[in-house]
Amino acid sequence: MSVIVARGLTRTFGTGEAARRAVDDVSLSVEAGEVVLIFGPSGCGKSTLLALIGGLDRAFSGSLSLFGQEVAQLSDAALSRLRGEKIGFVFQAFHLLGHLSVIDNVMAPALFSSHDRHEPEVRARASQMLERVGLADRASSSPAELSGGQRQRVAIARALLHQPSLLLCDEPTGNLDRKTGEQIIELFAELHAELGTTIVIVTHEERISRLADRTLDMVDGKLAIGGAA
Amino acid sequence: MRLRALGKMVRGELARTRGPLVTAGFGIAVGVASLVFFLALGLGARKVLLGDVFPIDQVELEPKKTSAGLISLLGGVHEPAGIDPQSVEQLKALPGVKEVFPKLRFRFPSMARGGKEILGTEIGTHEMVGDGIDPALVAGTVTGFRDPLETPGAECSSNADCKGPQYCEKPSKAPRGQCSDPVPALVSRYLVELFDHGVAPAHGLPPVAETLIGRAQGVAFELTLGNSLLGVARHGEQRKARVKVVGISPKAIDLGVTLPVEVVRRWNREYAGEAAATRYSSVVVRVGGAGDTGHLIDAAAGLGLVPHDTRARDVSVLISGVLALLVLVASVILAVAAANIAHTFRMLVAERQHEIGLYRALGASGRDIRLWLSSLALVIGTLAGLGGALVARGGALVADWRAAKDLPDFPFKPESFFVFPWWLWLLAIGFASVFALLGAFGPARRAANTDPAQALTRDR
Repeated sequence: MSVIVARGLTRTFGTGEAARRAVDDVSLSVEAGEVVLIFGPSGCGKSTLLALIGGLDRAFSGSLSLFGQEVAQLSDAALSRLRGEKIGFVFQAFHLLGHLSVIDNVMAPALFSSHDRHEPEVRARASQMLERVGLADRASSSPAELSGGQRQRVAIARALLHQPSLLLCDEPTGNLDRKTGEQIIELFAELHAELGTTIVIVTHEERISRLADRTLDMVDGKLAIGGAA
Repeated sequence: MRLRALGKMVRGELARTRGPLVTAGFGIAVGVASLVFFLALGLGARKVLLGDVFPIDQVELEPKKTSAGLISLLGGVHEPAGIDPQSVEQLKALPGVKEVFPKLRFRFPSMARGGKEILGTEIGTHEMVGDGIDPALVAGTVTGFRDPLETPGAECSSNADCKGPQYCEKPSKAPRGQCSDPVPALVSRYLVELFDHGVAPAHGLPPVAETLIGRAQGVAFELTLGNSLLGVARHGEQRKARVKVVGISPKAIDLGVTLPVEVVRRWNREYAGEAAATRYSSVVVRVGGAGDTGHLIDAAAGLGLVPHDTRARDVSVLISGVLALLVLVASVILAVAAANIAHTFRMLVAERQHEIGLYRALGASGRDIRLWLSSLALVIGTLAGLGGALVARGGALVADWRAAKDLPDFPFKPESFFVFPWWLWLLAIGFASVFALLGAFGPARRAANTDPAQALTRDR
């Protein structure tokens, strides 16, 4: 089953002569359980592509289907629900909320879910996720007290709270040193093996390619089959 | 978004942004405090002026005055038009009319003398004016105001035949009368104030207001019927009746005494004939609300009746005008406060762009974001409204305390210049909430429309 199907996906910024195609006529299909790596230099449009296939950016042309649903036809509420329930995001900048504790950050997706009615259950699940990423003892810490690698682990735990079918990672090791980056890559490999989650990673770091079932190269907004898979 | 999660987000934001939000709420609180203070003052003024001085929920109607009165006066006899019982029934049937109370004016000359119990010396008037009202009009506010002959005493031929304070109520030319308790009388607050601030100082007499209220049951005077300084009655013989004041009432005639209508009916019949006993001098019509007064006056005009006193309407219009002005001032303060709220929320949304983008990525819809910020505004508005209303209440208490302490006694001086009905509290909170929501509307909408992809990459 295809988790993502994109046909002629295009995202243009600006108008007239200043118009620039960040994503240019991209066609892509990702099957359930696949780990797909989109590789390319900074500014090639890979983060924009990730925002499109994560339903964060709807100003595209072409067609995009997520879990069999046409994104263009979904209401904002329906797309938000789809994001909350089936998609997890891991960002390069972690995007943790500084005013919340580590465990509250992990629990944040539950604020917008209609399923998570019982806070103790959510808290227990968040604790499990923190344990899984090796940060059970830092649950009550502030994100400011954590190292970069630890913050990214918290972000991964947050992304996994709802056990998403699709994990979208934007330069997940971009802000980490080599050793910590390796640990995060290892964590992704373990999670994929355990949960079978579909993972799409955009990066410019070649070392991540060992994780991927398939590698795609992106240059100037266009996608091409890579050679690392 | 679930209510509990919404509450958690709002609480979190209140804790995080306490300073700016308190500042924004302060403006709302000041506006609401002004609004509530002015409104409560206006309601207080309305209560005293339209409740005690010029009651607005009731209108006294009387026959339209015509030049026929002057012609008859030239002939030596004046017969007022009066209101027949049929017109009274027609008034009762009008929409908005709750009750109709006919009044009979004294249609005979009279004089009064008494007051020794409270003044130490007897005082009197050579021309006594009075009227009779239905005791139901003052039911619940005055006790003992009823026709004393409802329970007639023993037969008598003179006061000597009666016991205690009773006197012999013996109509002109009747061979025998009946012992009667003194006729209960009501006087107006206006009359008491006039006496205390006008007559008493001129004659070196003590003010009576407090005494009269406290010793109302004991204050008696003698009413001479059928004779006065200006002349004698056309029918009947001069005689005396005993009257006692049983209370001060806004339903009493301004200058004179008000007695039970059946007593006046008997005396009018005795001294002025049957027409004077059955044709009412005026009717007091009690309506459902001030809004019904206008319709009543229009309908009464069709029956040839006009309001006895239009001051109530004039005062009502004046109070409404002043209130509207004060409410406008308070509304301007609230509008400025709403602008302040808008500014604070714009800043908040600008600062939270990244966070809003993250929430969208985590599953929040635009509606969730709008709901979050609107709820925050609602909580600020509610708290500010409640705070403002409490400040206004406190201000009112201080103002009342200062007024009681510093202001000299004056007619109709109330115990409190303010009225705080329950709906004023709701209005305060409602107004504050609405203005806070109005202020937050634009920023909340903008936040809901935040492009999450851009927001999340903005700081990179």
